[in-house]
Amino acid sequence: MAGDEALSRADASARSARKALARGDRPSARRAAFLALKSDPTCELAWLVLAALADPPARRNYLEHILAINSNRETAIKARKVETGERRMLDRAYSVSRRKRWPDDVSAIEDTKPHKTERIPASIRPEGTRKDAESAAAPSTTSFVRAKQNMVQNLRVVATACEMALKHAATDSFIIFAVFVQPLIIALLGLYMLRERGGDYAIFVVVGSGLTGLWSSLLFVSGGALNQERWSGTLESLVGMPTSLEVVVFGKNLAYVTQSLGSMVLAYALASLLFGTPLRVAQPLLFLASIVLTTISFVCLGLLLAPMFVANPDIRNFVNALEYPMYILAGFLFPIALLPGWTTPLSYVLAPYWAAEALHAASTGTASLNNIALDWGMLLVLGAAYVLIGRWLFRVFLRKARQDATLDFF
Amino acid sequence: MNAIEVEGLRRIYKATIGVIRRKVKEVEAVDDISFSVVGGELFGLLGPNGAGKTTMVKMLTTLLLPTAGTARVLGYDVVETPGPVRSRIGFIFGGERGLYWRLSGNDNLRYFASLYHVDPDVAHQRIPYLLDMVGLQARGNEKVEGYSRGMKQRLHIARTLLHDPEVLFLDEPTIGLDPVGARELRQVVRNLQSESKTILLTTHYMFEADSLCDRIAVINHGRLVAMDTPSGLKKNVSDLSVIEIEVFGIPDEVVESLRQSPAVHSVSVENRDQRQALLVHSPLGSEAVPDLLASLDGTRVGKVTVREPTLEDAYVRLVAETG
Repeated sequence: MAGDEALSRADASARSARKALARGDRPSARRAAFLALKSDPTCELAWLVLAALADPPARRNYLEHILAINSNRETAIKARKVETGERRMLDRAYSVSRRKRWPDDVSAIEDTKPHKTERIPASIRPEGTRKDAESAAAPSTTSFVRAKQNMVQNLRVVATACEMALKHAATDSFIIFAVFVQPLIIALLGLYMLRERGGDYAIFVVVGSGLTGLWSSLLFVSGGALNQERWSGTLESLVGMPTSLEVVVFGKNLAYVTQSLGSMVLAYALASLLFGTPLRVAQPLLFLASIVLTTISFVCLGLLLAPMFVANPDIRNFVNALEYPMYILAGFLFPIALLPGWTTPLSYVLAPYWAAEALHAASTGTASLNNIALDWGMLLVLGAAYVLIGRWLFRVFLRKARQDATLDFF
Repeated sequence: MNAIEVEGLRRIYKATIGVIRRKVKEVEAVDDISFSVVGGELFGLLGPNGAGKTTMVKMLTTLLLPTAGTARVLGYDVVETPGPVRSRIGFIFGGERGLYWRLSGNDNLRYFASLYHVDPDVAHQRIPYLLDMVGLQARGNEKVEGYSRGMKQRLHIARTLLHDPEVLFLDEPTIGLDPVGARELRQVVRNLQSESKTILLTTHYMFEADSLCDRIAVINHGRLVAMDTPSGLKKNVSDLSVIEIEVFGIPDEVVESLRQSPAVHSVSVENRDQRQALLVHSPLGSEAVPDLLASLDGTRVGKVTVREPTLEDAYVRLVAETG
């Protein structure tokens, strides 16, 4: 009798596990399944629920165990279904929208064909789990779906990292000073000194000094942000997560670059209002497109700097020395024709040089479509090259940091 | 099915000494350690400061590369395939660091959820649930810098559960917490255990390990010195009783003379404010007390108690023997 009681307890718990699974309550499902197995270690339904909850390769182990308990055809089919197609059902069951519910009886899985082209609703299960389920269900679309999924996830990370960096910066008085007050001071000084020279020259200097501000912000705030992550102990968390660190850095750099860009525009507008000097951009559409490409290329350039901060926090001393050479080599404030000839190739591999070319030309009205197309093309090509080199550097320097134990070193 | 498998793991840190004639000094933090943790098990890692516990956890969480040996989590090698490991594990390191203090608890979780690739709709539902679970729902919109240490620790727990990981690494999660906070956190760990999560816990608190862990590994100087259930470890000292004598300023030579006594297995001294606790392990139990007190002639003695050995005594003995 005691044995019967145990079996009926096991059966009740297993059914409750299945129901919990159906409503997406995984912890309760897991708990109830374990309770069932405590009463009856051979309870097939409980093992099936555990298998459905598990990720490969643990799931395979559960299924092998089920087949060891009962190797008849019906069980084998159920196990096979759980191994291949059920993850879609689970994900659907667990997703918040719950458009479709997990069938009341696990055997109903047999009648449910997986939809090969339907996008799996995202769930809180790890990315790898979804990939595994997908590759089992639709091998022909795996790489496309995976690439799409990765892109969506990375874009989400970029957007969130950007939002959080802006929120974080909004509470940091040093960053508020660097972003809002300092550019205003520079703008006031620049326009005061150049007030006799006329509008065109003023816009040249305004654009040039704006670029110097962008570069400095990228160099110090973006690089420093990684050191700040190290000091606050979040760098380890970032590295230990499934998102690539370069995606997070991209999002943060985007925040800092757009923030300083916005603040400079504001500062110069305010300064020109104070001095009554109209800051006229001769070719506004070309200027706007150049600004967008400049922002992207600067953010990509930041990906070359950040890996060095990952490997060694003391790199900031070296990075300080990079500030003025860029002002000169990229022709922010005067043309590079004034420099010795051997420096020209160096300028050509710097996206800020092409950004300065495009922005100066568009703002002063000297941009021809051919010339500015070359500038834009170079900004895109160099941006892509920076991303590729940056990814490689991240891999190398992250490995070095994991080897030298410097992720938590400060 | 083993959730964690460690085979011959080693980790050597290199440190440079000197300015002009630099020398590289090697420190062996983890030395040839092997163990495995079964799925759903709560496995404790105990050891004194610098024993190699955190180094072990960092290697298993892919944050540190081993010098030699292999480690697999859920079948994935932590060096060769860190990506799948990171998707399936959660980790917290003791202390207040590891959070964005200028952001709210809510924003912290939203940010980490996106880094764990949790769908925004799911995160939207899950974050309030987790904040509620760790008792922070009412303070979720406040900046973390205003949180107490215990609240930050609990936020860490919520963070690590965002993506419903199968394996959790908790490195001294209750360190620095007040007794109430530590008790609440232990309850959270128990709840996670009941959800059949595999948990690797490191702690300095023996009663915590005793009450939570299914099995415990003790490491000292980077080496595995014992691995058993808490009751199994306690059996190592079941032949001995612990005589705890409160003393006020005991000279070192007296302690040394006690160690030489045939009725004494081991002696340790714990400083407790103005007094010390002399912990004597003896097979004679209360029968040894008169002789011990006679040996302490001239030393001011307070309360004397005789008790059965605890996990802490087993631990102290293991560490002393392998010291």
